[in-house]
Amino acid sequence: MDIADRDTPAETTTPPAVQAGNTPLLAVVLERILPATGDAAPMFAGARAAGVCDYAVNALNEPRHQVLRTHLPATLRLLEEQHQRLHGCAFLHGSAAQQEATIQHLLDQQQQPFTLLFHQLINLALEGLLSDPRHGGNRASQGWRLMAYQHREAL
Amino acid sequence: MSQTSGSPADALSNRPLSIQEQRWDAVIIGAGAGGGALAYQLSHHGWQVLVLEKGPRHQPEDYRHDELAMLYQPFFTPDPAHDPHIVVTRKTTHGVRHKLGWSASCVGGGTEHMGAYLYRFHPDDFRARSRHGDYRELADWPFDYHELEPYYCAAEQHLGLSGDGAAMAAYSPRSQPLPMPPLHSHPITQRLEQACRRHGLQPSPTPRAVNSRPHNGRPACRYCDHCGGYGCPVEARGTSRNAFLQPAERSGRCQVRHQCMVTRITLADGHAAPLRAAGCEYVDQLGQRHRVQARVVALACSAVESARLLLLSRDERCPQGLANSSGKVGRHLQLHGVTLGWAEYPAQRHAAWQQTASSPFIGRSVYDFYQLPAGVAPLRRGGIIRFSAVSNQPISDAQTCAGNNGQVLWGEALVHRLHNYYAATRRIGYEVFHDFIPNADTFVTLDPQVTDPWGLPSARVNLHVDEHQKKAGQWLAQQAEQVLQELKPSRLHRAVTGGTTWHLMHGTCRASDDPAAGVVDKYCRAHDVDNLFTVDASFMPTAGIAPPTLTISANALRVGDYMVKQTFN
Repeated sequence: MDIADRDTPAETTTPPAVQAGNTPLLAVVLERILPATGDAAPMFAGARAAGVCDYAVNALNEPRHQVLRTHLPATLRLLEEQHQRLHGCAFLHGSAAQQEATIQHLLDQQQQPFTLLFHQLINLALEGLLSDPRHGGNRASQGWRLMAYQHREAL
Repeated sequence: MSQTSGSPADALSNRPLSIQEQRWDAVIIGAGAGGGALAYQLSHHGWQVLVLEKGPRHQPEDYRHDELAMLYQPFFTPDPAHDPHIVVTRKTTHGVRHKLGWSASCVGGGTEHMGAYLYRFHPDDFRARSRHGDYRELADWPFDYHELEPYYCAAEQHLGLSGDGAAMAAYSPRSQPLPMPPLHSHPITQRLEQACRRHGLQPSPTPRAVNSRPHNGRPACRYCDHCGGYGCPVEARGTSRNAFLQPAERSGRCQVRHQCMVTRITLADGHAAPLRAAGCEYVDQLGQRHRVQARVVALACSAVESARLLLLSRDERCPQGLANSSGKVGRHLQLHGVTLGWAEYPAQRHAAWQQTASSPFIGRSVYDFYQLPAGVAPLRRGGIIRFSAVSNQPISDAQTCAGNNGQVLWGEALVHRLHNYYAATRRIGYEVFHDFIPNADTFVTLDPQVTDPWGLPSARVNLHVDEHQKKAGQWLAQQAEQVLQELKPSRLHRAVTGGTTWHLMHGTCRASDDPAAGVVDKYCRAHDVDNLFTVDASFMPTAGIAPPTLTISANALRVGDYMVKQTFN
């Protein structure tokens, strides 16, 4: 809200659209942001099962996410390179613990634009988890049930 | 931008122009709080009025409790990617495309999605320079509170305000009670009031343009708790559309055309000063260009967009922009100061949280800090603290959980933080309204590069926040937090301190008796153009401490009265 205190990335030309099916790395990152919790409370099935990944692919192509879409390829490339260095394998083939360690390493290093973009990915994931299911995420209202949110329309 | 004598709207001259024969008594540009009120006032005095609104006309059934659609996607405001305001601050290295300065773009304007906290201004808001001295660009208004008071009463009746007028009278004197009693309150409100009183404060129900009982043919509130940011599907909230424009249309003397983008104000032939407006040109939703004629032209597109339209309307008779011989169009822009946060409580902490409540609202305002103690900030201008329940907005609440106090939460820690969040916690929020000090570094111009979807230069907003705002916000937040601490929260969250709203704007066409110091006179008539008026908040020499919406509507009724009493033949 307080734009007077902020600087933001420069404007860019319109980046290419994000296509479903060519974003496996993005899907894994979203799963790390909102992981399945297994049988333990709160018994959350994870980002993929909640429709967050499908939502994200569509939402990224909206103009309001242009900055994120622009910088996403470089961000994922950085993540991949760091994972290779730390664990000697592709991010996609790492264990969940290794993937988390790579993300945390980059956050600890305050690597830009990774940190800024990762925050935006968290926000995008939460949009997908908690928006009205008609937008493609929050499958079977899993996100609302997680938060104990009771949705009601006025009419 | 280089100032050539032609208007930027000349870029549209390759499109065929339809010149409409009908000559309206008034054309009003913008259908928000000011434009709607003026349309009502004029049409009910027999004037034939045309209202041109850039945005769409939403219907109540369009309004869902859809947080993503209403608050995140461009529903009420244009998409900054396509139709931006370009914001520049001392700290930015690039102009940023932003929605700052867009209250709304639709019939009803910002009143369609407002929280509807409609306070009057304090009498001292009209004489800030006399009260506080020569600081930055403070100025007195060319009229006082008492001149506006009868119109406040009228606006409150039309919009339908609920609250306790008597309790507010010490803050802003009134000649009539509010039309409705306060809305129901959640039982925790009593505890909050006790906490306020232990601090020597006098809380009273927040005045709201929300029906506590049926009013003017609209139903009472259903307490669905989706006000700010959302349209009201049952029409319990008074808006410019349902309170002013619909009655104006029913008179048979007002026509509202939506999705009509005005590209310039046209001038009557001749060079003699003062100039006279002939009407305006606009592009409709099919891309057709039209010219309409009117005896009077009134700007009501918001402080940023009204200034932009004047600058876009330059020609060889006014090469700096229309009504801009003083060079003041666009100057003195003010946003609004805001400080906000909330306290989170375990749901079990107070029995009142467990009671079945007929209302989710808390809705109490504290006026005791209108004046700051000496030494807190450069000026003694303080704020109004509004306590409220925090509506459950799962996306934004979860995003706050994820990014709380500089910590980033993700993974299992985030999932566990979200788990059962609404069942386990309750929140009381505070929002402090305080003013934005006009200063030389905050103003509107035309952007030299970025254009809107019609190919016209976008508004460029230069923004600087004065130190007073930060210091006042810091102190006022502490006062609010002390009250909330009394109720033993599990955590306090301060979201914004001395910040700036993006949707409340004032200034840019300052009202002044001196044509060299302002753009319009005390009746909001342009000094340079005999029949051109501004009836949004652009006329305001200074922002008030309260949000401006009620004052905009009241002033538009006052200006309408003036127009009716004059002859504009």
